[in-house]
Amino acid sequence: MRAHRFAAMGSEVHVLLPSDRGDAITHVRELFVDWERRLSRFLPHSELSQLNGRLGQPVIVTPLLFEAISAGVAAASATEGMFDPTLLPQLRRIGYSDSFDRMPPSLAATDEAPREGGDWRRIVLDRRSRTVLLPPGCAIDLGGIAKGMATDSAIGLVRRKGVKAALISAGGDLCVHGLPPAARAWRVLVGSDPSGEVVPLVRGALATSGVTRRHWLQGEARRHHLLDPRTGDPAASDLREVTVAASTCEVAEVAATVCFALGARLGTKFLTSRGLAGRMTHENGMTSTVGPWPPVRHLDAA
Amino acid sequence: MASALGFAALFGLVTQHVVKGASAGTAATPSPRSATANTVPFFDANASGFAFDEGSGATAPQSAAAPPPVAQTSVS
Repeated sequence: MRAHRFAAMGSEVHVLLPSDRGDAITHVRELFVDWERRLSRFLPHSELSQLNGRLGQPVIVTPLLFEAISAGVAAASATEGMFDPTLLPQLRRIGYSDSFDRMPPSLAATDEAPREGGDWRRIVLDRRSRTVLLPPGCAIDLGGIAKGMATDSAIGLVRRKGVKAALISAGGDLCVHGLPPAARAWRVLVGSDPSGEVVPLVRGALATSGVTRRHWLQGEARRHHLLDPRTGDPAASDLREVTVAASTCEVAEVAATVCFALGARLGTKFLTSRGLAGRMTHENGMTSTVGPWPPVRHLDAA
Repeated sequence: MASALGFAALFGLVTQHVVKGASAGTAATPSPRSATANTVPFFDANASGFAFDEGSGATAPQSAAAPPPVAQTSVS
């Protein structure tokens, strides 16, 4: 297998392809660049930014944007609003108005009070006319779910191109297809800790959400990007990081985000009730697992 | 020809108005539908589509007996 890397959607994209199928990287890169160009909230001319600027009227959108918004709304509905694609005003309130790499490490304090989420409930989607109507005050940030969907779509693309095995990882979302030569699984290091766990993923996807990377100061307040829709403020979670295994990055990303905001106790219930597997790193550094997450084998001690 | 097209357009507008007017007070025809009426399953169809190799389990990355990881999930 050969590794390829490029930057897109605010992340480094890491792609493993068979050594004789390096041609497929062009298609993968084009897909990510196209999705970012259309779905980024940081690009003023993206289709999403244009839609966010046209409130109170039905707007005909491209199939890609319609499906991404539909997925975000479906995820919000399925999680009773704990995943919320309409928290952009709340993110702007805490200063997350630009790509994280361009943000200063500290920002001026704000006097604006937090506002709970839930604007997704007032979005009107019409699949027949492919129109989206955003109510006044609403603004969409597809962030993580769009990146997850792009990763899933890229894996589907290389499969259709006849590539027998591939791994694509984009800023916390990772998806595999097939198996590497002479291997029973893809050995994937989970999360941000270089001395963390390596799990043997055979099929499906992993997504990791946490606050180890994206955090900053706003006045005296420590901020991060994982908001609790119930308050509109950064989630006061007892977790540092959550990784979820699912069939797709789209689902894993949503589940990891929700689990983080719910915290360890309710997050465990949430993952269990949906048959998902997960690994949590708690604030104190301890780890716990949920569902069919592989048990740790201590090979060195054997 | 032009008048025929004009009539067709006018007929279309009238038809559209009637349909919208009829549906405005009818809860049984919710299209265009609001986001709260979305019934698309999100988790149900996807819960069992992942698998780990049960024989090998998770390991520490520095384990001498295991090959190195091929990738890292990073953090979003």
